[in-house]
Amino acid sequence: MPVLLVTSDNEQFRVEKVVAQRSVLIKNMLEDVGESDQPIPLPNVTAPVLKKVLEYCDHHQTDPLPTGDEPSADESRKRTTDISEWDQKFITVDQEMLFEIILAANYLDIKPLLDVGCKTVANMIKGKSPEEIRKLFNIVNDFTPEEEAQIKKENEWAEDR
Amino acid sequence: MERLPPNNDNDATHLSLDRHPIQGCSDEILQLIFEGITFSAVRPFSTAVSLSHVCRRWRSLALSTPSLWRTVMFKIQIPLQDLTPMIEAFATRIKYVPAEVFIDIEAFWEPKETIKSALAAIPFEKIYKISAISHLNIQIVADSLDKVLFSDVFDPIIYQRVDTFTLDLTIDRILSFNPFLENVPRVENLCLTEGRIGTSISPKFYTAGQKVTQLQLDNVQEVPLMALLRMTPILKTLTILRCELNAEENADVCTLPHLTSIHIGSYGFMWNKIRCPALTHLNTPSEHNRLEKDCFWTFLSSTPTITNVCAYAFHGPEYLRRLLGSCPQLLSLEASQSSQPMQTLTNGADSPGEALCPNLRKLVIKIDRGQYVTEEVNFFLQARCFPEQDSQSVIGPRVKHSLKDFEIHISGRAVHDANTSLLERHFTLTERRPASGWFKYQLTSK
Repeated sequence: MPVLLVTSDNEQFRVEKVVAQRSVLIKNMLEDVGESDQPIPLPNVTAPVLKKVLEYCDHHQTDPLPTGDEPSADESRKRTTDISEWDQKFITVDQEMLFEIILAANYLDIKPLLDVGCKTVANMIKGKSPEEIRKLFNIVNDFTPEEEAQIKKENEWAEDR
Repeated sequence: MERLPPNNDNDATHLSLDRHPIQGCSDEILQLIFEGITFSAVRPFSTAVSLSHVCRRWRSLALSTPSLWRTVMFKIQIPLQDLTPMIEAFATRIKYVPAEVFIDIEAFWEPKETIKSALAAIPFEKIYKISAISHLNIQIVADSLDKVLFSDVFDPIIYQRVDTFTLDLTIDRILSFNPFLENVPRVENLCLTEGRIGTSISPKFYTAGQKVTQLQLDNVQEVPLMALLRMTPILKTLTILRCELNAEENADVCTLPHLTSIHIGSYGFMWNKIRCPALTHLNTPSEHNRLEKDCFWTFLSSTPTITNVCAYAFHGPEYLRRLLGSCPQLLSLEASQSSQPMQTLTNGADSPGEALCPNLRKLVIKIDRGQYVTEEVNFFLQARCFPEQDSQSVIGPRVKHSLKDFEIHISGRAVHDANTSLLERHFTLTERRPASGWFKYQLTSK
């Protein structure tokens, strides 16, 4: 049975239940309200972002759902920044969309998608100096002179550790 | 998925252009990103330090995320720098998260007295005071450490504090490991490089040996291997490379009931003297003259538990054919192009019951000159990767156990070969690692 999702900009998406249920938030909502044709409001997600998120859910609809009972699997997943070929193509979007997808994955509770998004940002940051990271994300260096002095000291012992 | 027309003209909320979207991320998301960076970093500690130097918010978040600081390397070189500020920062940031501590001591070509005073200056007690150490790895590269200095390094308190302990020793070729080993009351992973052991191993190693699960010897001279194996009864992984093994013809057969993985690359290993009833992973010897010996093949046929073989060192199809015949239960094979694995596996595959290693599920092949094997790939795919079809071209009742997980490592110069397009026609490319100089295709049947 299809599910009707309504975005923050009032667009409606009709999707198969199996696809929508990749989102733990939606899955729980559906379990709570039971069989219903009422639309599900998603006030934190815009239509272009939901379209992308649903594309991911559709492609991964047959993947086993993460159970959260396997800390060792979680651990080994975190230790690699490898992203599958399809996911890499999927997440090749502009930075604004990338972060919108991450926020939506977090809100909708889609752990594997959140992982893909965070790993993509991690790969962008990896190997960069603090100055390069600031430049990449337009972040202002707001340290006080005292903090700067502390940081300078840290740099003396933190290299190559 | 069906997108329905909008029912009003409300605009989505757009992010301001001068504020990067990363600044809209919650602390939890930023922490996930930070973990992704540090967990896979070569130098996790300095990576976490870098993150804490970006801005005040990132610093506060990084310093309050203990998991970012859990792997630390103390590099101890001479002249020794003062490690106290780093150890204090580490202890404050790690809090109660179990830590992985790497201590790297490099003291080659230094007078003994200099090393002694340098080691005495290391505040080991501060390191060991950290609440829990999940893994301690001590690597020592030295030429003149004696056993007294060595026992200074090993504060007895560590043995109660750590879950697993790795000792990685590299010493001068003329030095014996025996005085070092007899001062280690406990070790899980033991890695010895260069140096020698002698005609016998110190009996004082007996207690520590009972806990060893991983043993790696590289370029070690005078190795009484059988004696060493008898002292390490719960060994799970054994790697012996380029070592000079003592002749122990009169040694009794040694059973290693827990050994699951073995990699031998040294002359004189007595395959006929060991029994490994739980062995699953075998990395084959490399030189032909060793493969000629019957004891290796007898060992293979008497170890039916082997399911994973890494045979990159085989440079002739005759050895691979013999190996496949000896291990019919094989699930995974890694081999080089020169041993013609595809051709060998294709032979006898005309009828499903006669295929070599019918249970094979994973094949990894290293190809550096792809153009020579196009036809071979095609035959192989037909014979081993596709379900059998009957005369009406529908899937028949006797479906073969077809190979589903198929990796090929293709060199940069072979990647544009016809093989690539041939494989991509039938399989989905799931992974590519050009950074290593090889293109790895992990192919899943479409």
